[in-house]
Amino acid sequence: MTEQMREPTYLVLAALAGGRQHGYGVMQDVAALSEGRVQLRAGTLYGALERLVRDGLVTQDGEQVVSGRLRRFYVLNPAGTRALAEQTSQRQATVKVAVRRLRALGVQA
Amino acid sequence: MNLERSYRRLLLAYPSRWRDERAEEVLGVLLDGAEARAAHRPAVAEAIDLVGHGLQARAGLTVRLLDERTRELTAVLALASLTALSSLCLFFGEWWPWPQQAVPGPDIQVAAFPGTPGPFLTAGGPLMAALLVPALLVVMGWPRAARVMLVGLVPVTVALTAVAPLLDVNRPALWTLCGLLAFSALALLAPVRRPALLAALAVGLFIALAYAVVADLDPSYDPRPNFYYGYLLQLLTRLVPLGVLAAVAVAGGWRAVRPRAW
Repeated sequence: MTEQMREPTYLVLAALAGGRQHGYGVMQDVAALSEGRVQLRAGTLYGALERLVRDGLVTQDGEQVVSGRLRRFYVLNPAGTRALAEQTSQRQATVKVAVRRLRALGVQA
Repeated sequence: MNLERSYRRLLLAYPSRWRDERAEEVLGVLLDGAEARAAHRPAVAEAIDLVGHGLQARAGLTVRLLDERTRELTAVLALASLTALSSLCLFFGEWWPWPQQAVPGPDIQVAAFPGTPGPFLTAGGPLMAALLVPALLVVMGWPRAARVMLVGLVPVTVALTAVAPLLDVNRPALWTLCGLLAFSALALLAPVRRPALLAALAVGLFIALAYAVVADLDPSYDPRPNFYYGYLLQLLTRLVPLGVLAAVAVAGGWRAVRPRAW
């Protein structure tokens, strides 16, 4: 079993699963897919992105300058897709157990 | 102050090499975010996030200047040295039952160190015992637990050094604690593997045993309570921290002379 990723890293992978994005796009997508619960800040985002690029899960894919601002794009590569699938399965298994236990306590989740 | 200039100042927390590669891109993201919020200055949480990650990047870059094999070798030797030094200190400095006739007058431990919490000679005893555990955890096949324990013991060692004089509790010599701290920090440079550690431990513990035999054969040598001020131990515990400082200074100097984008 692979090591559990930290939530910001997992969310960055999940955002990139939606397609090629630049840094600010990833930030907005993470906020949207977590329903506003997680607002990534630039330091955290680039810390996670650098680790993911270094670990070979995400690839840098071109850049452009918009209104004088540099934008670099990132894509999820096959290794990243596999890692996201593994992490999602692990989380699903944990959620299943938690839901079952909550039901046993009479709580609907 | 201009918003862009404020962000550039915050990004100075990152090392120059990182800024050369990333700063313009991150600046763009920060300005996009500020525009969306209609902000005129960086938010406090944003500033803390940038400075925190910048300092982390500085620490990480210094470590990455060493190649992987060097880091692994350093970590193994540091953990073996930490174990050997802690064993020596625990046995000789804190507990060794020296024959009473070698000690003039009443028990010199009590006379020299009144108020010692006991059964150890100083408050460093439990710390020395705890410092033996990380190597044991690696040998038992739990290297992650060993790293977690090492990370926890670094602030404990710093706290003991700082707090002992305030509480009027005896602690081991400052240089010994500095040496233990340096070994603990170096042992965290890379994960330590069991076979390499066992080999290094064999050498380290052999040296510790040789030290014990030499000390035992010399009738004039009474390490209690002067063990921490013995010539060999002082040399060792001074050389290591100085070596670490020299390495950091060289790495920092190398980065300082590199051309910077801004």
